[in-house]
Amino acid sequence: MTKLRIQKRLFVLLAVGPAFAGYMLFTLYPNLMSAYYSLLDWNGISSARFIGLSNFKRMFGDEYMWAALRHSLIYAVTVPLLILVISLFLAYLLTNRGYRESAFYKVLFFFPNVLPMVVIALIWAFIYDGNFGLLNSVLKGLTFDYDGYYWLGDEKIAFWALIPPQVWGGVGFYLIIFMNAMIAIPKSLYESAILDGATHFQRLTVITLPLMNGIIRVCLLFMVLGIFKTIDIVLILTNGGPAGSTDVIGLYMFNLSFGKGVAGGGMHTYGYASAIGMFLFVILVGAKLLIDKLIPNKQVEF
Amino acid sequence: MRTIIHPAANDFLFSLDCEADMIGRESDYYHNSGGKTKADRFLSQEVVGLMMRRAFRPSAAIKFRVGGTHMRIGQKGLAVTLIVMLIALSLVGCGSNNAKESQTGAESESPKASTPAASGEASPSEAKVYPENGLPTDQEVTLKFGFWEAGAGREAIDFAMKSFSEKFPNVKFDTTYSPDIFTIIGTKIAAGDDKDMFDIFSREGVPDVNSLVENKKLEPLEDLWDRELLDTPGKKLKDAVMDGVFENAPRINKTSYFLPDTSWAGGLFFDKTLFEKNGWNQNPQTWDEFTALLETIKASGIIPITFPGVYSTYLEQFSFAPKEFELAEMNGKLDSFTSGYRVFAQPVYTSPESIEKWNRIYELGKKGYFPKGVAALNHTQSQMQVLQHKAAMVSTGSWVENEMKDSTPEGFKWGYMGVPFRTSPDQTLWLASGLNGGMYVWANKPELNKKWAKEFALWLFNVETQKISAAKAGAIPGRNLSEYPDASNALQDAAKEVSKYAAANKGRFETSFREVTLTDPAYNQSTKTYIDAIPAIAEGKQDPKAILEKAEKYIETAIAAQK
Repeated sequence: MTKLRIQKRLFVLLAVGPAFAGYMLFTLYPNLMSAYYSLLDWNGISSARFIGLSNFKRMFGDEYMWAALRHSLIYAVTVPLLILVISLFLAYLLTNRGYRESAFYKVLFFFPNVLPMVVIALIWAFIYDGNFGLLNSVLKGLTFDYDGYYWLGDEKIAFWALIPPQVWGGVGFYLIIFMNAMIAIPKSLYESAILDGATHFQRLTVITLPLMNGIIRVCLLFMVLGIFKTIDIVLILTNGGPAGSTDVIGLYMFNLSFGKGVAGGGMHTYGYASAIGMFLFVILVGAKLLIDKLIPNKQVEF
Repeated sequence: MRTIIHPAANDFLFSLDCEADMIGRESDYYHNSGGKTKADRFLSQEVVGLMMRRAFRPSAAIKFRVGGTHMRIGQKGLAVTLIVMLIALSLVGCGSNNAKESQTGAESESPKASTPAASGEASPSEAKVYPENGLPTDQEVTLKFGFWEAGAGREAIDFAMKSFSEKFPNVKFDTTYSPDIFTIIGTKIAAGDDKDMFDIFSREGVPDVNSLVENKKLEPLEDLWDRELLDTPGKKLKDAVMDGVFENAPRINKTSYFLPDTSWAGGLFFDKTLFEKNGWNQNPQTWDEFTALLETIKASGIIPITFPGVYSTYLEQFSFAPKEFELAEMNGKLDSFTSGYRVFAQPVYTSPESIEKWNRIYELGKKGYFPKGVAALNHTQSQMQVLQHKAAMVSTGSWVENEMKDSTPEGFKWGYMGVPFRTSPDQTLWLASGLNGGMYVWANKPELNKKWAKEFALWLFNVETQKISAAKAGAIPGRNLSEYPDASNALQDAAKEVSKYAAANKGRFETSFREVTLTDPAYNQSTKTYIDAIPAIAEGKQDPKAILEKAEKYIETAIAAQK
């Protein structure tokens, strides 16, 4: 081997090596391991037993898994759309209307994003409380008497009541991203549009949105994937109840592997939970491909 | 054994901590639970995937531009490099595994164990030993302790550790406190690294104890019952505890793996002042008297019984679970029922006792004795309802006083009652209880560590530590403190009320433990089936029959899988 070739190899090793090693150790290895775990009957204590695809077979017949997945799917459609529309709208307002308090609003809207999801969940637990909840007080002020009505206690309402906290918690972050994307669009485009007599709405749909296409696409991807993995807010607000009406796939998996006898029997069934995890992985890949398909990646240069 | 957990027997801030903790460790969970791909991970996979595809595409080559010159590396070169790295990494992985195994196998490498294991009968060469236990005074031992920090707080256990270290200065503690200690313990167990494992850990919430025992992971503590107490020489532990604690302590294969130094009782807790003011019956003797009381309370516009619907097991586990035993005894088949109950003899959920129990809950629900929208209440909210007199009674455990002490209004006096299913006061009234405290000792540890751990388990039965845990943690002492009026006065009101009530009502405490553990996921599904349905049953919207049949089907699968 010539000296040059050795040098080249060494260079590749140094350049790719550390990142690749980290990726293998902390991403690929655990992922492969959980693929392996999904073939086991294993509770973390006794020795694992290889049971082939039994976990998957069980999973496809598991009504709780399907119910949880259905809930996750509905959230994955509604929550990102709401976040997208609201944060785009607010971003447009704040960038294009020169409010004197714009900077303050920016902080205000971003504020929920500073809070951990746990705190957001607890705040909303108090908003929805039947006895001293903010929501009931406000409604009472508007002469609707809901005193003693627990919003999260009703099977039909609780599911939808979990949407506002998730949206509220997500808007701030994307607002900042969208605002910066909007600011990056050259002013000259708008100036000429205004000279041509374009309305606000036209400027939004013809200039702003198309130029932000790439960013919106990535953000939507993050939102959808994030929603599929939601555990925290549901865990705290309803723990999947009432009657399983708010159980989501992540929470179901969590309770199977780490449940403390609350929603699960307190048994750690790592094998089965891993199988659900694998299925979730497939769903996430599917969601990603679907988003790619629905929103074509049109690169725009400006 | 069914683990008895009150997942949120902690106050509001605690639950906040707990959840935060839980979420914070979510990423750790990932590695165990698998497959929960993070978005960033997803993207990085995509990037690397692209890289790999390029690297292995025929005739493909990656160009690196370095300082103006192009470096061209053939596909083979890169592939070889990557493969070498893969092999190297996997070797590293195997290496660490092997290392771990050798550690497990040869714990004698640890310096503590390399010294001759001190046995109770000290060898003549060892001059310096403690007279109480014959353990060497000059060998430093640090016990790793995983403590469940819940409603009881940490004051009592801190006192126990401090006083222990004062008495035995060579023993130190390295304590991990967490409201979510079960997750930490579970993860450590699954990791299988004995060196990293706690020497002693709180037993509450430890999953699948039977498997742990089967795999010889826990140190048997049965011999401690015959030891003399550390603060009262001449008195054996088994003679010093409360009636029934020694006999009824949960055992696996007739062996105790923990010593219940405290206990709790479950049932309905209320404000005596409110009951007195309204002239309500504080001690209904029979089911009829009990339902009459609920009707009276409801007529006055107050919710008779509340419970946390978010953790809906509070209703069943703490007030109704032992009622199956009461029904069985009333029908004269207590023995056969109990032996069946302990081993999950079918039918589990559709037994006549279980069906009757759930039907009575449903009956109360249809009459509107539980709050509307109860599913939204967490434990703090439901207990708050009683403090605010929106509800008369709450189904919870005797730790409630300690848990709610910061919010309890003046004049509030805790009272306690069980749910009487019986038809006459001559019959036994079964009450839910749990033997609390106590800890497991990990078996794969140096002998000396285990010995000291066992001494500490015994230490918790000292009068002083028992007194502190009664006063500061709201615990019901496991030791009989009747000879020590000063200590028994330290009990909190709720705990005192429980003892008074049990004495006046032929009360019998039942821990509802099982000697068999079902590990199949179908068992989780069976409990999920009925736990999810509790709020609806308690609101009178759901007939329990269908639910119980469904749960029975799941548990049948779980039992079949076990065989």
